[in-house]
Amino acid sequence: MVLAAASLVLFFLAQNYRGIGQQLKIQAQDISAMAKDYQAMQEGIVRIENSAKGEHRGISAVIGELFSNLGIQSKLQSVKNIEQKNFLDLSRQDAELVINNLDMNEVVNLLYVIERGSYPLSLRSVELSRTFESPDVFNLRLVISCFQKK
Amino acid sequence: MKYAVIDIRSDKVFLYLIEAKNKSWEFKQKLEFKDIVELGRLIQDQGLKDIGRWLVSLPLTDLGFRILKFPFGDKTKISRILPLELENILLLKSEEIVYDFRVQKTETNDFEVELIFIEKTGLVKILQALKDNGIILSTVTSLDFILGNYLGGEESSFEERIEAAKTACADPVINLMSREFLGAQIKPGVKQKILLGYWLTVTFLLLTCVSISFQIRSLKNKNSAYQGMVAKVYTALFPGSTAVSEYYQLQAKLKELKDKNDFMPHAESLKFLRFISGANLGGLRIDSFKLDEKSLEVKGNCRALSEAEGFKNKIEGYFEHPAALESRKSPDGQFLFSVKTEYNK
Repeated sequence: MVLAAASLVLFFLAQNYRGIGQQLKIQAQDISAMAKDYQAMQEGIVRIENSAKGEHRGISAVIGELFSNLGIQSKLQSVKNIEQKNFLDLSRQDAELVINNLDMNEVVNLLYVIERGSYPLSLRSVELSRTFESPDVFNLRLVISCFQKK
Repeated sequence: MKYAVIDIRSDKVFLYLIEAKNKSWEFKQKLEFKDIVELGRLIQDQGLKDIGRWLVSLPLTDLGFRILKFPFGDKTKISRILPLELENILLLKSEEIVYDFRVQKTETNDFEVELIFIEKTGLVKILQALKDNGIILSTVTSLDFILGNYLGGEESSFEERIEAAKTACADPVINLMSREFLGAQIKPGVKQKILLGYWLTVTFLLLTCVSISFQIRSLKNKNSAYQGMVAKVYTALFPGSTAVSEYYQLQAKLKELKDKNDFMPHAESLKFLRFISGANLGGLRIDSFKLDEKSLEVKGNCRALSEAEGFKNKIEGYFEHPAALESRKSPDGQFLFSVKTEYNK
């Protein structure tokens, strides 16, 4: 009786370990992909969070400084504020920008600074089209978000 | 099934063979013997192997008989009290006797307990004598008791005893064959088989325990290895930090980050421009594109439709998502195309 009970207990124990093992196997398989996702997301978020820590400036001021630094202020046709949202300690202001007559170099520089630069900006959408006058000149319509720590 | 009832009388031994047929009892044969030894000889000679159950009837003269009165008829309660009553009446310890009883209600609403008993040593002798002659019993009863000859009055007739034997086959009324004696009745060969079965079961269970223990050990090692893998990835991601469950901790952190990421949507335009500059477009020209965090639409023109198809395939390969191609011929003979895809990169 004791042996039967012991083997029954051991059997259920083994089943339990087997169940845990299956769970851990899945976890071990998943965690690498999760870590990759985490790192990919973290990179962009950390950049924005760090750059949003500075003094409080409106989106117009940030855009003005950015275009002035790139020397393309004259090509900025319009800035239209769209909406403002808050999440935890961050506030987000979206704006639509229309920029005309840029060469490819200026396009790349502008997108690089928005995506990777030290400004608290992220690019939500980009619409690029060649001008009718010259195939090497482009018009851009951007929707960007500017972040600020509250 | 065939039943054999051994009717031990003061001077002779009778054997009644009775067969159960369709819920009725059919008397088959009556044999008469001088004693149990003669009966045993017959069994050894003829075999009588088709007998399903053996019953023995002891004469009331060999048994003790008492009538006790109780104010209740519950057999369980009576069973609990009887040993004490018996010790008082017989001046014997209850362990030294074997007994059985029948409860009957009286006209005065009392309960009469008709008690039959025998000294254990006496019963063992009878059982051993029968066993030595190859008879393994299932029931020890008394036809005299069934017939109501408590006081050893007139001898009952042969027909009456046959009827009583039939009754005993169906329900022995009393049975002095306790569990203890049933065990002792087991044949030596059967005993060996039971012992063998017992040891085989014990060995099997022991081997099972050992095997499962090894399995548990191996599973534990495996699980530790998986845990180590999970912890390693977590520590690489968050150096110096520890967690009770790294996987669920990372899952929670990832969810938090995803919520933040949803608040900070971003279109990866630089990656797309790098893809365009690296892709060999041939004669295909891109006129415009629209990219946001979820979708892409590219418009352009080309000389042959196959170029647009090739570009669509490249887009699908890059975004790892199917794309839709629309095209039409322009007046100057070229093809205007549009490639659309939705993705979640």
